[in-house]
Amino acid sequence: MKIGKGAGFLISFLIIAVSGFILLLTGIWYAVIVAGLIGALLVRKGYAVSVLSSFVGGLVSVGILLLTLPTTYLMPTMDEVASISGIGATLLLALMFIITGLLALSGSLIGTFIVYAITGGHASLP
Amino acid sequence: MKKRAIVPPVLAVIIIVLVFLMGTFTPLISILNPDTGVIQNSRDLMIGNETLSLPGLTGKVVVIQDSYGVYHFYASSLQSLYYALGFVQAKERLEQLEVFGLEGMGQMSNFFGSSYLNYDKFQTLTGAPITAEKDWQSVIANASTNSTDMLTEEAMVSYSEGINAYINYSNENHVIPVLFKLLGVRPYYWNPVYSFAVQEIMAQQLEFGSEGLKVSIIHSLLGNYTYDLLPTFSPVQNYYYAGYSGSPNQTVLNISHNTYPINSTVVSLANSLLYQFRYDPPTYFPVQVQDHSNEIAIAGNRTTTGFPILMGGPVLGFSLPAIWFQVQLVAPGIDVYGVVLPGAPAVIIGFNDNIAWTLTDTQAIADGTFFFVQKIIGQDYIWNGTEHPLEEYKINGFEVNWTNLGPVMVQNGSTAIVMDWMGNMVSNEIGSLLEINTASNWSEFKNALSIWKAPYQNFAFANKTMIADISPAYYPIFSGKTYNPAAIMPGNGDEYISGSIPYSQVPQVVNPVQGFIVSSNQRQVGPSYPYWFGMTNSFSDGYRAQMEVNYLEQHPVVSVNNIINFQGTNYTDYEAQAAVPHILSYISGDSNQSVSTAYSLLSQWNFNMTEDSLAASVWFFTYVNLFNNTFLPFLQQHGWIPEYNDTLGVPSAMGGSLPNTTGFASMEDVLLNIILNGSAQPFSNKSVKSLVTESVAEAMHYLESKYPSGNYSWGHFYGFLFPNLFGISEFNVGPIPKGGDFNTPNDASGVGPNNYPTGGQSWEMVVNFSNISHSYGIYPGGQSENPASSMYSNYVNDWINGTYLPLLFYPTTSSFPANEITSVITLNPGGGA
Repeated sequence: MKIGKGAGFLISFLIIAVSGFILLLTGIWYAVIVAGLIGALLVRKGYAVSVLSSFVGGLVSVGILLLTLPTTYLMPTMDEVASISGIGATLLLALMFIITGLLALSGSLIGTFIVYAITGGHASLP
Repeated sequence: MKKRAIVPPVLAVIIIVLVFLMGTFTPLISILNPDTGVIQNSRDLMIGNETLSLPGLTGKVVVIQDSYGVYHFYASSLQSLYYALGFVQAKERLEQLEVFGLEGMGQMSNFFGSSYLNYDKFQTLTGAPITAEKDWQSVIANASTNSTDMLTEEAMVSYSEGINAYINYSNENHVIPVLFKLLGVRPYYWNPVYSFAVQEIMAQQLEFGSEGLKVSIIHSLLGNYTYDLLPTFSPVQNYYYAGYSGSPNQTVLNISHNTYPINSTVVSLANSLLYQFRYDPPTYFPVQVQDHSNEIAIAGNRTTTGFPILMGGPVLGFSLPAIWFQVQLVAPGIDVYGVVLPGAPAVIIGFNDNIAWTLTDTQAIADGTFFFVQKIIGQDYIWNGTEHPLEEYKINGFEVNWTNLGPVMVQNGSTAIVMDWMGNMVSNEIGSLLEINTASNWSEFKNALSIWKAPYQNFAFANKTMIADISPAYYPIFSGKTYNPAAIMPGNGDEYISGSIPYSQVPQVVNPVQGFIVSSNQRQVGPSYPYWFGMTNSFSDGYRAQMEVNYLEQHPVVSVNNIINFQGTNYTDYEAQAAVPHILSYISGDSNQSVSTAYSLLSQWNFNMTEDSLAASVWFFTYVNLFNNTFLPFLQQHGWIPEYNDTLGVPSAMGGSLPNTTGFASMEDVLLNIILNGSAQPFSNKSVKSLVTESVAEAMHYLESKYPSGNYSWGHFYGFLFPNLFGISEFNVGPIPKGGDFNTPNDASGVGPNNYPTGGQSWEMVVNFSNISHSYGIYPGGQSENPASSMYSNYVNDWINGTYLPLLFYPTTSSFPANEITSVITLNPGGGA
């Protein structure tokens, strides 16, 4: 079945968000790279789709993980860390999201490159 | 493939490498890791019921956290009780536990880096880590034959297992405290040696000192004036809880007035050692404070209920988290309530069904630290003209040499100063406390304390029918030439410790006729006591105790509420009460307008150091100036000031309340005596009238220039600061203004700004023997060490306001009212957590 770029983005995003969340639970943050890789290899819609879906998917995977925590106590905890580290709590949280997004994005870049390498420049395999 | 096709994977690699580098050179990646980083710690803040299965736990334990945050442990066996205590205490206080262990063992640099190496070196030098190891080995060796050691081994091992179970749990669940994550270190596993290291820290907090070095240097500067400045017996104290208030014992007086003369080499060594004591203090957390502990036992015939009341308020340095952790421990054979220390599985101060007890520091031999000058040749020391090999220890990467007297603290050529500190005696005070926890009467209580060696403490006792107090410890008896033990002694064998004051003779009293006992840091025994028992230089002038005695004499019958209010909010300054009428007579009719204003304020004053009192400020700064005007020129003339400012300290009034000054209890006594008797000899040739008038004028000038509006009320100068234990000022609480001063029952030394007291009554408790379940207490802090927790500092305001909380005391889980329960943790024996 052929899918459009919009649907491709959605599927890729879902794959990366869910697999990213699962991979985050391993405790190895770098594993999120694999989520981006999987998304790019399974949904081959070119760099634009994979980059966007992997970054947003990465962000959402952290969001899902946060839902498993008592959100009431999240900011007090981050404020504590901020006081010790001298970096604002919001900035710390933003960094956590951005790093996750970038790791997923880097996986998708590699994945899309592999797809291109195999297909000789076609985003979708014949 | 086109060249630009390679850009995306290169970009990916760059991103990964950048993130990797960030993780290598900063802790950001490990602390921000969503699954293992700091956000997971938010789960630790949840308060609610939970059930855990823990490996090594031998029986079920139900832990109820009451509505005030206090933990009540109900266990099926002693092992499981102490295991659970270790687990829950680690859950709330793991950072504090670990830091106390490192501090006691001289291993702070393991966590906090090389800046702590000097501290570690000095702590190792004191012998604390060596003695902690010896203490535990002694317990193991004697456990099969000595019931106290057996109990100690059982409690210590189970407690350690509980702490370690929590460390494993926190590792597995990624909730190790934030501080560890930020420092990038893992918690180390606890063992009983660390508990004995905590015992050593407390001995250091409470009795370790350098007074002997100071007295020798002072004697080298002042000669026999030393005994005028630092008299053996107080010229003003007249209440001694254990009696002996007759004429001075001449033998004791002769010993105190026979200070061993030291040469310039020893003076220099003593001075360098004092420098180390000051800048690498072995009591790092929390900071040491001076005397301010309260201890009162009131007999049933003086209470409204007809049953005894016990009041306690031991002073320690404040910290958040506080040093105490409040618990009830219940298992077959034990039902005890009170406070435990981080690392010691025994209630230190508290009560059980039958008895209650509290502790204060002793006055007379406050330090239990004795110094000797000893000759060392190569690897041998000389004793009675014979060479003996030094005992060498290699620990924490440092080498320490011991002679027969103790560790060699400082050496120059063949001359060394050696320290004989009672905390270095192999002993088991934790075992003694474990026995007290289950004692049911005075006899058992006293028997449990018979093995107590250090720190020197007064133990007030009460049960339904009696009150008592005892100060058990290893108080040395010196033989030979008997130079003043409060100064450096000869270490060649001329003078030696030949034993200790017999237990039957240590200060103690049972059911005194006046119906109360006050043991609030003042000297316990009077001048006729037959044993040498220290001088007045350290560490309490006894005014607070005298004020408490006065209160009880003026109130023949008191209630629990009276006693709570007395300790919490009574701001009467005894010294002011005694001195101000005389000061008024000295300044009466003075033509100076400011002095006249001072006269007007002081003459209408009720001697209360309340926040809104102007007279309180006038009194305080007048007294401070009078102290300075009387003593400082004299000390300057004899070379103390400024040469020894750094080591002897600059003396000042009110226990060294002013910044960068040091308190000398004896000088307070001497000064009050000067005010009362009208002669400042030999310290000043000026008349007391002239000294007082000059001091009042200076005080008024200071106050009026600082507050031109005339609003120089005491609240501007006094308050309390509660510092974060780990030095993170963002987590400090205060300063919070409060009434009181150095001499009041609820007090501490220090005046602001930038010099507020950071210590005070660390656990205020009033036990009511008409119904022990209606007892009350408060400590300034909270049960959690986590600044993000609602229980980090929730008791502070109650402490400031003098509001005591009910100490809920229920024997079983089923008797615990549901509306008093915040959460229940059920700990079951099992596999993984």
